[in-house]
Amino acid sequence: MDFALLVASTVCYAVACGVALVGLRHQVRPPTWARIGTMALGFGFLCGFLYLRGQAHGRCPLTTGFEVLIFVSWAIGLLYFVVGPGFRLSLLGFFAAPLIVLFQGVGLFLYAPAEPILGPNGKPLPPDYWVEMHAALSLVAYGAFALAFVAGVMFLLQDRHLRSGNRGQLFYQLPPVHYLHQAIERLLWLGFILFSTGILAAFMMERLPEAHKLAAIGFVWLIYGLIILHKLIRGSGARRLASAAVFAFLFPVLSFWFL
Amino acid sequence: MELICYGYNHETASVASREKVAFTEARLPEALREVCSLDGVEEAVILSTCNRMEIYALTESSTNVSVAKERLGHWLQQRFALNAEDLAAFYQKEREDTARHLFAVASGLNSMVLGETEIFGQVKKAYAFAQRAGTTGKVLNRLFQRSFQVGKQVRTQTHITRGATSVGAVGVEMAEKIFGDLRKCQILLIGAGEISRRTAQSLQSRGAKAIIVSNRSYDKAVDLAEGIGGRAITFDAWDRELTRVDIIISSTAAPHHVVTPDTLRPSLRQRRGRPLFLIDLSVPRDICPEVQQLESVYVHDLDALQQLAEAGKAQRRAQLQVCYDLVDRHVEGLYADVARGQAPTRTRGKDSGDINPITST
Repeated sequence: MDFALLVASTVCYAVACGVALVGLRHQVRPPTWARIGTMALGFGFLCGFLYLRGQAHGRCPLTTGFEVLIFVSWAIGLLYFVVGPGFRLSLLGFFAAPLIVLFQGVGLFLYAPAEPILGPNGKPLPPDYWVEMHAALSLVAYGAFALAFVAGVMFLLQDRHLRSGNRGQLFYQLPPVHYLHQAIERLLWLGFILFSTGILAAFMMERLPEAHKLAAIGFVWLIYGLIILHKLIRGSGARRLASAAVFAFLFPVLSFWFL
Repeated sequence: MELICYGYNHETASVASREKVAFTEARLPEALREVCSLDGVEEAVILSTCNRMEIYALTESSTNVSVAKERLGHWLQQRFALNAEDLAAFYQKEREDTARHLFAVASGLNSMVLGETEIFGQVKKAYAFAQRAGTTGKVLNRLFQRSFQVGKQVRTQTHITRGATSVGAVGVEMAEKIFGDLRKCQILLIGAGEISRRTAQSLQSRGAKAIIVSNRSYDKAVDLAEGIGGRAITFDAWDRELTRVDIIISSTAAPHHVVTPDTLRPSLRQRRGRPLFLIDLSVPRDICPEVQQLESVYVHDLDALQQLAEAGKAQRRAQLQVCYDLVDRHVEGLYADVARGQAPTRTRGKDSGDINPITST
């Protein structure tokens, strides 16, 4: 059942991509139900998937790399619904959906049925809530960084249109650069705060994560910390911030190898 | 019974002719009643704007279309003392051509600025006047209501309104794609030229409020500031406003660059990534081209704006066929609807020699 929900969710997000693409090609704005409805349906199916996995594990469904990927997709979807309307960022879904499809597509290949986590005595292991808090906060932070990456790409495209005077279809569909800049800045802050809290939660765990995991987490934290520090102290420009948000997302993606 | 349209527009009549035949709102009800009292005219709507004057009318079943048009022409000639040259500017349309013309007018396809939307409101107003004056009936009601439907569809389902077509409008379009909401934007005018005043007014029309005017002649700055509801400052003080303003419109007669990267750089850090949009309307240019390389700074000079305006016009012209296809579908739909709704009249008309108002060709 959970596999079917994951497939359904991935299909919905893929349809959302397709709808936006067709709209762009034919220079028409797809209806709201097609743009937002498909994204919402995909998000709903994913909530169902995570619920079933959580029930099966008896804890937050973050026990394997596969589940981590899916959780990040869920976080991107969640933040899209929070950030998109708030900043009137039309087309954010169009750019975010491929990333979600990519994550979930990879997830489908890595899929394994959920099983209860058993202790050495063969009984289900009670969850460590600090572990769950650490993992959940860190991955929602990854979702925020992913969306900052998406908004960064949109910013760089629109910035280029404005400088060159190229008023193609995308120019009219993409949001104003000022809104994108604000969204990037706030998403980076949100991600950084959540990530920092997640790291603090790691130090409360019964057993600290392995050294290589800590190093990977620490490196990602340092990269985003530097970006925010630079923005605070030097007041870096919008284009530089957008480029940084795009480039920095490479590190959370690479860190998956260590988690 | 036939639909006819008798009128002129900016393409057929000079300003001198157009200003002769203008109906003020106060005189419109009386004029409408006069038109309807003409022999052979049953219903009428008068559309009178600065670029066109058109009388849409429905002739009586016993009246020949040519006779009705002749009577309308005669009435106009007498009312406005028109000469032969003035009358030559009038065009006459009948049957489907009338519907097609009105649909095109309401959609902005017949306007001086292709795709402009102001005409839609003017057609609505003209129709409302005629309704109040009691000079519309079943046929013109149906025709005008359909025209509003067409106008809306053309606006929303095609890209005829997309792409600004004047320097001021391009400036506004770019500003909206940079800032989004212009209501929070502050504008600085360097130089008090006419074109910068017009561009500032275009931005004001989209909500921009605070305008600062700086000019070498302080008196001129004060005059312009008063005219547009802004604040005047001396010419040596404009660079102190750089941290606050969002849009700078420059149009001085200076032979050298007034705004350089060095002028802007100190303020950029304090702006913390907030964009700055510079519009250079002077020749030689006031803004050094290297300014474009600065972070969060967007520059457009007169050439770039004019090119974009031309591109906007071409973009709109490219949409014309799509729009006319839509208009034609509605003309067919209108005639099909009326044919269904007026079937008894059609039969009687045929017997009595009358012509159906809509279905005949």
